[in-house]
Amino acid sequence: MTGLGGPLFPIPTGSLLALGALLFCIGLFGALTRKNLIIVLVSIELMLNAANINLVTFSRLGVNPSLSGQVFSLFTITVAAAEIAVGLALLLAIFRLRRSSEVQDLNVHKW
Amino acid sequence: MGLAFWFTVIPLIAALLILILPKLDKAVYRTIALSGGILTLVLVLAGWFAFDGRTNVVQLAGRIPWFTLPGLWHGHNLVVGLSFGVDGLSLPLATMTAVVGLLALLAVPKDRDRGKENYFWLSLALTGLMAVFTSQDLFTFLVALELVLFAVFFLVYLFGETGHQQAAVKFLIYRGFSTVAFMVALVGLAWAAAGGYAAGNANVSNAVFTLNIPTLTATLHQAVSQWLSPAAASALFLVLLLGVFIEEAFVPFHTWLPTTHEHADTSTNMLIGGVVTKTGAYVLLRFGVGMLPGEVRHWGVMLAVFGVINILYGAFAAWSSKDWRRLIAYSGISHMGLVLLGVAALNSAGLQGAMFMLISSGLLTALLFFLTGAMKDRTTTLTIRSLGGLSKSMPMLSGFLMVAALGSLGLPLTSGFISEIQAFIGGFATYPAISFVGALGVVLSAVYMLYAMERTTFGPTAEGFLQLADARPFEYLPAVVLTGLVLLVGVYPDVIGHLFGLSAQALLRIGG
Amino acid sequence: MVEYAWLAPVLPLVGYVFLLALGRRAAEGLVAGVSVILTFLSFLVSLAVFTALGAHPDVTGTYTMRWLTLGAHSIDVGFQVTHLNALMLVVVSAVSTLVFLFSKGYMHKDERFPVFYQYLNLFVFSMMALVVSPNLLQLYIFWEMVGLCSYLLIGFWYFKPEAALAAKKSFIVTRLGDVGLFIGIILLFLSSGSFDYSTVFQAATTGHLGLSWITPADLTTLTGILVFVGAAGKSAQFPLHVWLPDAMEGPTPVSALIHAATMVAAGVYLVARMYPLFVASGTALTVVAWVGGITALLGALIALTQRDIKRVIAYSTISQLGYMMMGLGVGAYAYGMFHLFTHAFFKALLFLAAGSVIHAVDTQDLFEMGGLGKKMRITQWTFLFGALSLSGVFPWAGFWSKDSIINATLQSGHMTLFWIAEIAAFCTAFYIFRVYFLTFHGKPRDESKMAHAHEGSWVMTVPLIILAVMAFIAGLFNTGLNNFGLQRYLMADSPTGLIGKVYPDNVPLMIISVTVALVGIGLAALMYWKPVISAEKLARNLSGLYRLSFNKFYLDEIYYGVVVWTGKLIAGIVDFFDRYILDLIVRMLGRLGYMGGVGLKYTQTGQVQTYSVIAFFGIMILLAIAMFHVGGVF
Repeated sequence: MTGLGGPLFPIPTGSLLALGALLFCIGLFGALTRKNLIIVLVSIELMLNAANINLVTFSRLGVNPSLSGQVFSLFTITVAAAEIAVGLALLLAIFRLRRSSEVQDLNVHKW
Repeated sequence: MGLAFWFTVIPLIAALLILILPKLDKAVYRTIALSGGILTLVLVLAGWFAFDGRTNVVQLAGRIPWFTLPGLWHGHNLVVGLSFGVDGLSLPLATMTAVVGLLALLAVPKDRDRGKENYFWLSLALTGLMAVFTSQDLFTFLVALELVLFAVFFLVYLFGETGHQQAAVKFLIYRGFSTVAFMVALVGLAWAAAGGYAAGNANVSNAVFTLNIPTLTATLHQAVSQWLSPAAASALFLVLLLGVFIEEAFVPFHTWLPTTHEHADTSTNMLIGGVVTKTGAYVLLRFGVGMLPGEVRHWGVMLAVFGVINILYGAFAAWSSKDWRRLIAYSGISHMGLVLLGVAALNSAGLQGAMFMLISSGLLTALLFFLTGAMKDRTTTLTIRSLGGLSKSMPMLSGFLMVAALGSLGLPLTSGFISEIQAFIGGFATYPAISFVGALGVVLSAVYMLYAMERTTFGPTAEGFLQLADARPFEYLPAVVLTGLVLLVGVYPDVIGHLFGLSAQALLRIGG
Repeated sequence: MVEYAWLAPVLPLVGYVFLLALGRRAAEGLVAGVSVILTFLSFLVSLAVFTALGAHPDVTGTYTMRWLTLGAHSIDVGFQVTHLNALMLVVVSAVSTLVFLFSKGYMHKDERFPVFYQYLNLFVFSMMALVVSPNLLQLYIFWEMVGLCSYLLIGFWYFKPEAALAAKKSFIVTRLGDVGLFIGIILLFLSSGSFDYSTVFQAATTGHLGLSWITPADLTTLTGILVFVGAAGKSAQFPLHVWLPDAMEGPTPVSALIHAATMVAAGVYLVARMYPLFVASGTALTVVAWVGGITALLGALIALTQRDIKRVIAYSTISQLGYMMMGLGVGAYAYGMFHLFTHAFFKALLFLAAGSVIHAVDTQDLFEMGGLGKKMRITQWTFLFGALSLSGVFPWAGFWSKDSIINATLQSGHMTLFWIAEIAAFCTAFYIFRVYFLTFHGKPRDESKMAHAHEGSWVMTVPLIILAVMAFIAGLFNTGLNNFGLQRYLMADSPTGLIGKVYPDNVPLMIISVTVALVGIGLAALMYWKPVISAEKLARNLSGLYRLSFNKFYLDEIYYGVVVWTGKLIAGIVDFFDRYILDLIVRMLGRLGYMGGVGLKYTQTGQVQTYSVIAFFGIMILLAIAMFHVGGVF
């Protein structure tokens, strides 16, 4: 057991990583396929959280397990919060401008 | 800091000053640009006094380190510097650049709409051209070529006439390719020199990767003979040659030149015709003959044949040109063919003739563009067929044009002749049969030039041309200066001849 | 005195610079006065040099300074005085002085009077510098300079389209010859290592003129012929003679000075100067002789039927230059130069007299003149002297020199050339007296033009009289009277006899020649003075020959059809190739890039999610490659 008090329920690392991967895939699928911008943003959050799970999981491993992975995930959450705030603000602005929050309608970069 | 360093820096300072100054009267920008040009010219002329004409080593050198690439080659740092200096080949070319550059600045109309931009780009082009001819560092050299490329692009793009945008893009794409070819070839040369050095010393840790041009010139031929496979050397040379052909507008890569000249304005044309089209030949002399003399000898027949093709093709195309500017462009191509023949000959007369031709063609082309530009201001057209009898209303301009045309067709006592005869002496010494064909160009140049003159200054004067004014006082300066230099070189060629002679000897010694 | 010979060319140069400084508005009297005085001084210098050299034949010297360094060779400029040069200096400066004086009257009130004198001064300078050149390069330089002056002066009345065309033609045709000279000089330099005459001759005569790709003998012949091509262009030898008749578009004094007495003789001078080279190659000398002979005959035949007074004299010049070349070609060096000497005077005289006529009646068409003798006594008499001299009537100058040449062709065994020379001599006598009778005798054919005809002022008549005297006595410089002074003088250049032979007088031949000339004159008199024989009828009966002569053997047309047309065709093809093939390929390549861009732009849907999917699969593929191909990443 590690020196950090040990887990209540010793979940195997593989399961945690599988959870992360699954979450990431769901998020990716959502981000790539959903039409509504809000859902896309939510999907992106899912992917970020998948990354967080991985960070936390990997912090248990190694020759010298440490807290830095968990601390890093806190940073990620902060950044994610900022990002979602910006994202939502942009979404609102776009909606006001275009009366739509559908991804397909945002094609000003088309040829 | 060496004098040659300032040749480049002064116009750069002028350019930056023009750039950062807020919106001001056009005259201010003109003054700054002209002061920069004059100061550069004064420094270059001072350079003639400071230069020791008895030796061909690089002099008046100035160098400041720019940046360092650590551990680039077997743990050695590569220090890239801004390094400038002149030898017997560079100094006359730098002088010509300063003269033509200043006169091109003068030729910008005072009431130009976007004066600030025009003076800025012109000064920048001047910076680049100076740097091309005086760089002693490959990196600086390539940067300078790029600088020239886009400065001239903007000059054509912004200040030309109908169709100038396409012409500018054509210019950019063509010359862009030549710069790429140069980059590949020159970096390849630096790599070959380092590799050869390493092989020669059997100790890789001693290998020096340098971009310093004199060092490369001194070490490279050894590297090529000892280390580089003949195929690799040929490949490097051919890539370099491709760049030269495009840069110099050699047939069949020449179509950008007439197009550009036809659509650019007078001052840009002076700069392009006078100096920008001489950089390619400079590369051929400096890096082709200077670093791969064996390859020049190996491909000599091909070079000579292409030289003659250029002489004749340019002459015939000039003959059928309907516009003065296209005619001048093609006559320039024809002249440059002679440079190729002289270089191919690889003897002192040929090389010296090629160098003379660079100066001569530069001065004459600039003069022709200035004069035809002055005529166009009055007649509004340069279509040869629609001109005629201009001697009546503008005898002085016509007189200067006659001198320029005669110089261009190689009349003795002008610079054209002295270049021509030396290049042909060289050519006949090495490739008599090919040169025999090339000598036809001597007649053809008379044919197209005198044809154009007959239609321009001779003949009855059209009604609309009778009241046109002759040269104004400020127009005399460029005409007199350029004509004077053309005649000076023609009457007393040793004025640049002794420098070129030293350079030619130095280049010939390299091959051993 | 010889070391001051440089003054001879420099004085006209001073005149040129001075007139250039005076500008285009200077007073006529000042301009002409300065020019005449300077040229006259130049004449005095030349005369002094000439006599000094006669007294001390060994003082010929070369004086040079460095001009350009070419590898190991130093190329010099300077001056050299030989007997040949000294003679040329005298001829050039003498004729120039007289023509300068004459032009004062002829060009009176011309808008560009000072410019005319500028060009003339420049010409005289260039011509003299050409003559005293110590090496081939300097000769070539001034060779082109006199060509330039000729171009400028033919095109002096630039507003006349014919003058502009004629100027261009003269430059280009002579340039065609100059290329030969250019190549010849270069080959001589490469094979002997120097441009200097002496070095070249040394190498040529000892058989050391060699290059790797050709034998010394062949090279000598080749360079000899190339040099002669240059001489043929300048001296209007067949087939490069076509420019000279057109050159008559220039003012008449120009025709007299440049296109009769001096510049066109430069070709003859060149062959004479390069004589050791020609002697070293017999073939080259034969070429000179034959081309000269053909030209002599051709020029005379064409001159028979021309209507323009100046063109007749121009063809006559071509013909006489042919005689000189023929003389040189058969080895009679001194006689060729002797004829050059006399010809300079009587041909300049004929031109100036013709100029005087044109000045008076303002036409050049012989069939608009007639009966002028009554109004212009001096012109008539001087013209008659020139015509007699040209025809070779004893004892006029032309008789002595022409007869020497004909004698030389006979004595050296060139029978065909001898007959050619005699036929040409007959034609010569006929055509020049045809001109004489049509102009000065009979009734005026155009009264309106004749009405105002009168003699010019003294500036025009004095040169005519002086030249007439010279046309009469110049031949005596090389007769038994002074023990053949001129040929002894000229042969002093090469005492070893390297420069050809001289022959004793041949009295029976002289009688034949004079008879031939008199028959020609008689025929002309019968046709145009006392019309016993109708010229029209004769022309009709021989219409084929007449048209051939009148149309100058169609050589202009042949040139236009073959040379010019071919050149234009090639230029057109090049232009087409340039625009529509080469540039098309370039534009197609540009198009290709553009099309590629157009094609690829459709991938730019603007759908972020599409991009992301592509990026996702891209990363997957890269990861797969990393894992299975490179290995070791995971």
